[in-house]
Order: sequence, then C-alpha cells, then structure tokens
Amino acid sequence: MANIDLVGLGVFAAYIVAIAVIGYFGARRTKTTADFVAASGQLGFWTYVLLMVGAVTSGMTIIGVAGLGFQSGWANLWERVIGPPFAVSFCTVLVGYKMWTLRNKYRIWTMQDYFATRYEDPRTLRALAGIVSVVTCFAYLIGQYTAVGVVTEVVLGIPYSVGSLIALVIVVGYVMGGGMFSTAWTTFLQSLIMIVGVFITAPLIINWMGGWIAFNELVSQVPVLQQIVRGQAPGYLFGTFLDQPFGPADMPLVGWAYNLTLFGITVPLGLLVAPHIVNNVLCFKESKYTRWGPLIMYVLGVPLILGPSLIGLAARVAWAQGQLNIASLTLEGGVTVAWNDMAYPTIAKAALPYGIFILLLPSVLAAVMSTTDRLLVTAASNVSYDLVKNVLRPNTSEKATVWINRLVVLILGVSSWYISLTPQPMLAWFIWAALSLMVNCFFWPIIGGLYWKRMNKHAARWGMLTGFVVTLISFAIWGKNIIIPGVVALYAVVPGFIASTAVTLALAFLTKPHSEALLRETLTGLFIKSGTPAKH
Amino acid sequence: MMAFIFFNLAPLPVTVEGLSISRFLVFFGMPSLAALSITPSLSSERILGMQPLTFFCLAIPIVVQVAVLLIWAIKWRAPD
Repeated sequence: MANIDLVGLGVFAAYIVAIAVIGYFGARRTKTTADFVAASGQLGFWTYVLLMVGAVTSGMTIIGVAGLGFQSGWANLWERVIGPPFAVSFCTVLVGYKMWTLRNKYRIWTMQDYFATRYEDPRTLRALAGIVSVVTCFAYLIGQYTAVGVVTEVVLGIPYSVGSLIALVIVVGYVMGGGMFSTAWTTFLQSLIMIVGVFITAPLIINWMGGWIAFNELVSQVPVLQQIVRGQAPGYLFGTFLDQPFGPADMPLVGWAYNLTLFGITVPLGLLVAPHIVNNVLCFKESKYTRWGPLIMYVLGVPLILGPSLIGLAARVAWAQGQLNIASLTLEGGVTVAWNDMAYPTIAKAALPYGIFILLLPSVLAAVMSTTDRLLVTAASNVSYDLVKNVLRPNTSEKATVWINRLVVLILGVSSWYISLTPQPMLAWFIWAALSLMVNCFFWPIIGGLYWKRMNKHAARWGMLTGFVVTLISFAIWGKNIIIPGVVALYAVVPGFIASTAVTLALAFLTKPHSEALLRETLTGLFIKSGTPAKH
Repeated sequence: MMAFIFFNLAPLPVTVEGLSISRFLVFFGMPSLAALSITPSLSSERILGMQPLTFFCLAIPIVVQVAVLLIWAIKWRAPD
C-alpha cells in the first residue's frame, strides 16, 4: 500500500461531508413514496439537466472511457458523439415531452407505471419490466465501484476495497434516507464537480502533449513510436487505427460494423430507454424544461465524455514515447485491474500540478455516485413500488413502502459492491452488457409504445422477454464478440436486438391494437406534440 | 471546431523530419531519445492535425445534433 496522502484525504473528507449534508436535507424533504421514487415531479431546470448528465456520466465515463481511448483512440469516436450525450438529449425530446403530460394526467412515476397505463396491463407487464429493470440496474451497478477503488488506491494510497466501501456507505446512506430528492440534489453538486474536473484536466493534459495539433499528429506516429521504444509491432493494441474513425468490418472493437452495433445501437439506444434515465424524465417540474434542456445537456455532455477519451489517448502517446509507464494495478487478493483502465490516473499524476491532480478523486467519486445513486433508487422503486405495492400487496402503506425501498437499497448496494471486489478486465465491458439488456428489453415497449399505434401488450410482453433471454444466451455463447473471420465482427447485442424486434413486430401485426380511445388518451402516434400528428 | 476551441491551448510544435533522426538514434542505442525526436511533420492534408475523415466523422454528427436540438428549441411549443 502506498503512503496515504493527507491533503488528498482532506479533499476527500470535505467532499464526503458536503454530500452527507445535502443528502440529509434531501431526507428531510422525503415524506411519501412519490417523493422517494420521483421527487414528486418537483425538480427545477438545472437540477434536472445535471441529473441527466450525471446519470450517464459514470465511473466508467471517467476511468473506462479513458481506458478505451488509450486502447482504440479515435477509432471509437462514435461513442462520444452519438453515445450518452445523444441519449439524454433525445430521451428528453422523444420521451420526456410526451411523458410530462402523461405523468400529470395519470400520476406516472416510473417506466412501469407507463407500461401499466399504455398497455392496460397493471400486473404482468409491470412485474416483468420491474424484474428486468432490477437485473439490468444491478449489472450496471457492479461496474461503478471499481472506478472508485482504482482511484482511491492511486490518489490516496488506501486499499481498493476500503475506498469502494467508503463510497458504498455514503451513497447507500443518502439514498436510503432521501431517495430521489437526495439523489437529484447531490447529483447537482457531483455533476458540477465532474464538469469542472474534466474541463480543466483535459485541456491541461492536451497542452502537456504540445497542443491539439501536435497531439493529433503524434497519435498518427504511435505505430512507429511503439515499435521503436516499446518493441511492439505497429499494429499492437490497434496502433494503426488510433487516428482513424473506424477499422475494417472484421475487426472487433474498432471495426465499422462493431462500432455500429456497439455505439450505434447498444450505448445510445440502451441509455435512451434505460429505466434510470426514463424515470428521470418523470421528475422535472415544468414542461418548458424540455425546450433548451436537451441542447444544454448535449453541449455539456460531449466535452464531458470526449475529455476522458482524449486523456486516455494522450496516455497512449506518452506511453509509446516512453514518457510514461502504465502498470496494471494489483489489488488485495491478487485481483488485477487492466492497465488501460489505469491510463487516466497515471497520466494525471505525471502531467497535472498536484493541486489539480488531487481533484481527480472527487471527480471520479462524483461520477460514480451520481450514477450509482440513480440506479439504486430505480432498482429499489422497481421492487417496493412496482412489484410489492402495485402487484403483490396493493394494501402496503406509504410508510411501509418507503421502508421497503430503504431495505432494498441496502441489499442491492452491499451485494453489488461485494461482486465488484473482483473487477472486470475492462470496466466498459460490464456496463455495455447491462446496456445490451436495456435496449433489447425496453426499446420497443417505450419507443413503440409512444409512437406506434399497433404496439400492444402482447408485443411488449413477449418482445421484452425474448430480448432478455436471447441477450443472456448470446453473451453466454459468444461472450462479447460475434466474429465471422474475414467477414465481420459484431457486438453481442445483435441477436437479442433482432429477436426482440422480430417478435415485437410479428405480434404487433398479428394481434389487435388497443382501442383508439386509449391510444388517443396515452398520446400514442407518430407525432411528438399531441394534436399535430406528423405524416403517417 | 468545438473540440479545437476547447482543447487548442498550446502553440504549434516545431516541425522537423523526425523519422530519419530517430532511426539514427535507435541505431546508436538511444531509443527513448529517438522517440522524443519524432515531432510531427505538419501536413496540409490534415485538418487540425487530424486525418480528414476522422475530423469529419467527429464534426458532422456533432453539428447535425446541435442543429436538430437548436431547431427543436426554436420551434418548441408547450404541450397541451
């Protein structure tokens, strides 16, 4: 264990205290289930905007995207331009605008409430969607703690398990106490910290590399540099594709077909319909937030995800030049974190002044907690509100529901942390697997439900179930990649996406749609604003 | 362009023909120095130091999405 950094520990402690105080006020504000689940739809403009940005900017964004930038450079630029920023902006436009009206009309607080109303299916579909949501949120959660553990070990010198345990205690504490209010208010601060952290460190590191143009020209030199200095072949670790926007179709990770299936389908569409993102659009106070909110989210989101990827790529150049050595991190118990996930903390330590480097920890903590808390609230709401109160025991009191919420938060938080003690080879893979489940289970029920009149409960039920089962089987059979040698390499989301789409379309055409009155009442059709239908 | 404004805080690097120097240095057993000697050879075929295709693949989706969201905001009307 390295020496503990007392200044860093002070910064860490100050951050924790600030979060705890905000969480306390959120807890005082929380009285009802609607408060806990959706802040009773009372979030203001900036709280909502930063909640959306924070919910998709996770530990993976800071540590994992930098690791991906280190490995594949510009060849995965698609993740940055049509990934999370697209998802939150267009979720507000395509889902949030209609949902705001429906929420006020039917008291819809969760995605499952919408399914129950739109598909006239208050039990089966609600329960199915609730269970699937808990599973996907849980998978997403596991990837979060690793990032905190990595950075607390590198920055503060405290062991991985202790660092991630501290993060767990704080986040579970304020989510148990204050639910959505605590989550939204702490995310406001956390998103600001993230934005400031990335917006300062990324330009400084690019500057350290000699400026934007020099940096990009050096990226093109990496194949030569890594051969001369590191004795590695030019093509080692996608070296020859670092300055390209994509590689040939049969290349995993960097190939255009892989980019299309991972960053054209899985990440943007998965986040667009992710339960923790869709539930966010049920929390804001006034419809006018859907006007400028999406643009602001996009403008904040693109540099926020582009920054870490450039930092990772800068680390790759510096490594190839021999300026930087990046070691894999061995944690207690002999578990090893992939060396590319160490790109951000390593180059930050080398290139940044100490006063700024020490801010890395709060930035990563903020990224992790702002996603973790939202996932915990969503999963807990699925159990207490959707499954227990609305399906199993409708007579459950408000007070009992809130306490069930708290218990579920505790169980999910601790169990996901326990699993995270064995980190994945690359953080990003775990998150993408969760997003695959989300897109294959929820894309058609949400987007089809809002914009397609033939979409009905049979199509939603079986499409969701098929997507869930086929996605799990695909990952079990192929792992993350489906490769036909010399032809094409695809991300393993594809079979589930094709299967759920085929089943949904077939059942939607073979079975009766819901009544015209219901479709009108639930604002269903190929239009965004009701009363102004677009061409059919 | 957004990325350029955001990140380009430093002056341009000195341009040299790097590869031949670096091979020379490697030959004499100084690989690290050789690596540092490879400074970029600026090319008029690049845009802000990037491969043109990479630059356009980065810029066009951003510009299109910003434009769509801007039009959405301008044309926005309150829901019923």
